[in-house]
Amino acid sequence: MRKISLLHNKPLLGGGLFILLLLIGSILYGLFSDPQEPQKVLLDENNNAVELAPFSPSTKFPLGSDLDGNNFLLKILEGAKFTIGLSILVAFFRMVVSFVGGYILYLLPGTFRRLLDGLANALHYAPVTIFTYVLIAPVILSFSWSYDTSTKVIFPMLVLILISVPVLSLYVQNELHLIAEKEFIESAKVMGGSHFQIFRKHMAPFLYPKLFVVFIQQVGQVLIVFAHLGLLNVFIGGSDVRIMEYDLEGEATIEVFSMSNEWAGLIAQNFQYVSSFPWMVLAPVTAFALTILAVNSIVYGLTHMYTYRKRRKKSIESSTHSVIREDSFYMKS
Amino acid sequence: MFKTYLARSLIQFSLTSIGIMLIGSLPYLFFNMESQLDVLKMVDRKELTNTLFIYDTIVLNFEEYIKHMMTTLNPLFTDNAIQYYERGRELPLFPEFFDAYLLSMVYLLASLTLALVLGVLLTILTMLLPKEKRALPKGVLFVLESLPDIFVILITQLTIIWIYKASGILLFNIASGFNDRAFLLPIVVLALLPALYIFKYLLVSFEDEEQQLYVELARGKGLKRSKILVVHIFRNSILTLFNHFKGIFLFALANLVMLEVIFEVRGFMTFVINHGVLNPEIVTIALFMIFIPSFLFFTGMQWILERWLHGKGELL
Repeated sequence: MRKISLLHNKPLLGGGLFILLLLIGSILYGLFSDPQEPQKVLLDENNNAVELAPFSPSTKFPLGSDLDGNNFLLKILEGAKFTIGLSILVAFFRMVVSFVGGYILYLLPGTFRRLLDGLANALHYAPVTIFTYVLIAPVILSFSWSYDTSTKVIFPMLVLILISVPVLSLYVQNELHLIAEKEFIESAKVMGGSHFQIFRKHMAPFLYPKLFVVFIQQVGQVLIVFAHLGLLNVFIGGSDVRIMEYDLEGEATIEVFSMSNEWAGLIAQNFQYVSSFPWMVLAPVTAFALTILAVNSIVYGLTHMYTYRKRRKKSIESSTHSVIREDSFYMKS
Repeated sequence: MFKTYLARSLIQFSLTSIGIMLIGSLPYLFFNMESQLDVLKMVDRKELTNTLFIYDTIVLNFEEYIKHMMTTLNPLFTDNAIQYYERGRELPLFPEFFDAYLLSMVYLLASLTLALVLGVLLTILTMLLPKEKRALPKGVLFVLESLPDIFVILITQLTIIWIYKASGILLFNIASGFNDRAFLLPIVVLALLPALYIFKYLLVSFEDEEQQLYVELARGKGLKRSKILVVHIFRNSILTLFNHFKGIFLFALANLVMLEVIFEVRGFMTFVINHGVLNPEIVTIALFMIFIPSFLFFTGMQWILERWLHGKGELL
């Protein structure tokens, strides 16, 4: 029953397949592609130069090409695993930390919850992009000279993870309180279950499906923040990984960490060309948009499970909705 | 009742204010801002050309953190002018920042008004369709509202440029120049996504209301479909709209950042992005400048609504 309904759930299936195929394609491309020297000039049959790189979108280059003549579609494909992978990673750790945080909040008295609720309210009055930018930009842009590469990767990730933990923890705590009011928790207490036992065996199983939906939503959120930060010239991996530096002995330090063609990075690098070669920005932004669309349709599929499962029952339900109840009428003073 | 409501609002207000202070000064907690800024100033004055020997790590500097919160508060009690650092110069923050704020708020409020009108219109148009035919607008709505703001803004801008290149007609000014400001287009673009959200919430609320018996009664009395929609159902959906409006306002605020960056508007958000990193107090001030008016507005509105509800009894 469940398996069949999952296949009928088109939004879930479509979105899931899109992201899965993108990830697999990206990883396979990274493993098996043989790097070719890009051509800077496009020639027609008679070997006449038609166009100089960057090429505009055509059948050979569906999303156009970059300044060196690299196919943008392949660049996007190569970068997909980094962008999607990173956002899944960030979203996952957001959930893990918030889950623990929510449980701790649940154990603490209500004053703490109200306190944190009031304090976390401050996070609503400016976009997440601003907060993350102000905290990440010092490491990557403003004071980039003083932090090493690992700091430039780990610190932004930590900021992206922790920025939404207060709000998510409050959500988890709220859900826990809702479950705690149920009758079977009462009986579990009477049976002598310890606090942690009840949490682990009776409350957490109710939480997991909800948290899974929130997790997918968070993947979408993180992707949006990545795209925004890319436009503001900030992307994970740092903006100076491609600059080769010379150390004190005069030897070139080769870039240690390079996430080639990560989408936010592509936006950041090419935004200066947006008016002359719009596809160079449009390609990564569209990739972001499609992925976010896929993520949202997964969320839609998950939250509307019932409409896809109880298709036959629906017609009966809709015919009985207008039952006249006693409370449907009341006397007007 | 007013007293408890006021007390609750005051507690909420002070807690959020403390939260803003805590967030705004965070850079001082993680970075050695003082020494970093000194280095930056030396680089800007060209006294320092090689920064390879400088190394720093992420720190947890609670002392500096608390100190910075105090210094941010300081201008409130003294009349010291707040200054910010930019490329070797200390510039007064006001009135420049306030002008940028006003500009952005004009954009924001104008587009929110436009979004409200658009959202309500779209909802009524969709509701005029028979139930079976509403699937298409709903599907389109789902796809459109899933698109990230950066995509929508960029696409609109590029479309306008494309129309201009193809036909020579410039529908709107695309980017802000020196004297001529792109005015109309940013407002329209900024209104698009909030309008979709208003449409989404109103549609749900309208469809709920449509099931109610009073609609059936009105229909039975021979009232026109459009009149029931515009007068009766709409009136009862206003409350839902207001409940969601705070979220929509904050959502529009997030869109404002991308709008200002892409349309090169020299507004509030770009100011925070350009200067907020080196001067974290700007972030704190900016947060207060958004928080205080919107808090007053939403709390006041809620108070009025609550009194209205209690005065009228149950809202139908």
